[in-house]
Amino acid sequence: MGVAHNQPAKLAAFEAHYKSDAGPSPMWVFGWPDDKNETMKMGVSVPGGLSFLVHHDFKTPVPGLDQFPRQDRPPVAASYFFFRLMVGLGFAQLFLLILVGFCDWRGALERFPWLLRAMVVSVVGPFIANEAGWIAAEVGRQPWTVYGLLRTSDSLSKSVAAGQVLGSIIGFGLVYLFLFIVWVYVLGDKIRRGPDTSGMES
Amino acid sequence: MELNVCWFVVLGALLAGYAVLDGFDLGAGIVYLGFKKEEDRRTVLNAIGPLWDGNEVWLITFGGALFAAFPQAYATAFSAYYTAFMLLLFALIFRGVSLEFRGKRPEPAWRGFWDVAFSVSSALATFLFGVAVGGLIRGLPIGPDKEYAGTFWDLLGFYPIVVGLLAVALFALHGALFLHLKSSGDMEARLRRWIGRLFDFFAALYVLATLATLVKIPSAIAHFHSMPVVMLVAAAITAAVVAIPWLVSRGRAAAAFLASSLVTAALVFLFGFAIYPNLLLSSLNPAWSLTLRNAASSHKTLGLMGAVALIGMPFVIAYTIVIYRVFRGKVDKDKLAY
Repeated sequence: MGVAHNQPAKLAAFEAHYKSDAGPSPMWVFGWPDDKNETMKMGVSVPGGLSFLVHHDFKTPVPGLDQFPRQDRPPVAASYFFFRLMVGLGFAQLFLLILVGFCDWRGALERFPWLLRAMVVSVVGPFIANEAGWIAAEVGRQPWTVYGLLRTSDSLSKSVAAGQVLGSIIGFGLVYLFLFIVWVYVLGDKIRRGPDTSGMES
Repeated sequence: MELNVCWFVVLGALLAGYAVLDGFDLGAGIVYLGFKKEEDRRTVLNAIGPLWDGNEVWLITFGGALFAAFPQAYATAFSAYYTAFMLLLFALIFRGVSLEFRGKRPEPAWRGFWDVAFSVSSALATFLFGVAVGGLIRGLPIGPDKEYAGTFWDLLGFYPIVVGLLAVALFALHGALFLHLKSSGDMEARLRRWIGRLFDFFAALYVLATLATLVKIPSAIAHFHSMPVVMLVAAAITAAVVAIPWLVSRGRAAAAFLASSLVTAALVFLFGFAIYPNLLLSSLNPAWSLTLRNAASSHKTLGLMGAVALIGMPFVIAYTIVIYRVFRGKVDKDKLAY
């Protein structure tokens, strides 16, 4: 895994891996990261799961967040949840696809209208997964802009005022919101009209 | 030639390529609202439709090359022009989507909205480019720490605004000459009349900008004394400018467009020549300027980038030629895609 090698603190945050182990590192399946006490609440884990993902065996330990000075650790909860959201959506899409593929292969797809509805809803899945993965990658790299070399607090432009940055964020927000609404409107219009079959007959 | 100087020249070439190529489609956008008929507007969109996004790649390449070759200059310039850049991005975003969204609905209000968005954003982007060039020639308040020490309003002023208007006039003329080449019948005749008026507008601003440079920016002129050969470029620009209305009146549309391309490229060359060896001239103290030496990447980076550029450029040139060959000739009114 590239992350384990290049940005070990990010991996530890993705997995809410607070404490380094002497032996195999587990992987959380469920759980609520508690930064204050540096533990997982209600955690359910696969023993040696993280060791397997990183080192392809169930023995070698993976460094936890306690290996990094407190000021070099990313916010754990956000990294953990957004990473899980991305991975979860990915697997959910895959599962849905296999299920739909199977039903279609058996010729039974039309007997399960909820599956078709799920397919319609699943259109937004990749968008959310994409954004969630992006947020996980950016939050997980904190407090660095360039991992281990340049801190985010050191990479600010001196001559750009906070108000300018806020203004640009609001501006982008408004522009993208407007374009999103237009896009949904145009897309909805296109879907209602159905596929253009005029060029497909020959 | 020293690597730093090579990269200064490469950046100049990328900027000139951008100005010549995106210049005509921005210019087509500037004159766009002058056409009232739906068919004429669609002809404009179809003339530039397959080309404009490829042209904008030159701007992105310019930004990328500036970032990699002269990171200090990139950082200071992008911070100084932060708000202006946001305006530019919004303009380019709206320009791009208006080309795509316009044809999706038939209602006149829908089309009218995207028409205005397309034209206004084209003019705004061009004006901002010109203001930036004017600011770079005049100099920016850059402190001893290589950081911009001014505000948004320090980017404006008489000289940058004159250069901004010159850019609008130049691209409008350039775009009209391109459309003249691509259109036929009524539209072609109308464009021929417009070109006459746009030419007067451009010529007036060209003279004004030249006078303003002579009076306000003596340092930009100092170079011409040390290298009088460059005066030939200035003379060639004047000759090409004068040739444009003459070529149009004789029906030589392609040659007229070539002349305005030449004028555009030569003006970018003069811009580079005027600021050399500075990338960002400090108006507070010339010693605080960011030059092609104190703002550059390591020699190793510049060398590596040189190798990448030598491998990549032939592909870019090849696909550019292919695309312009595929879409050559007049716009076919029976095959409008936009």
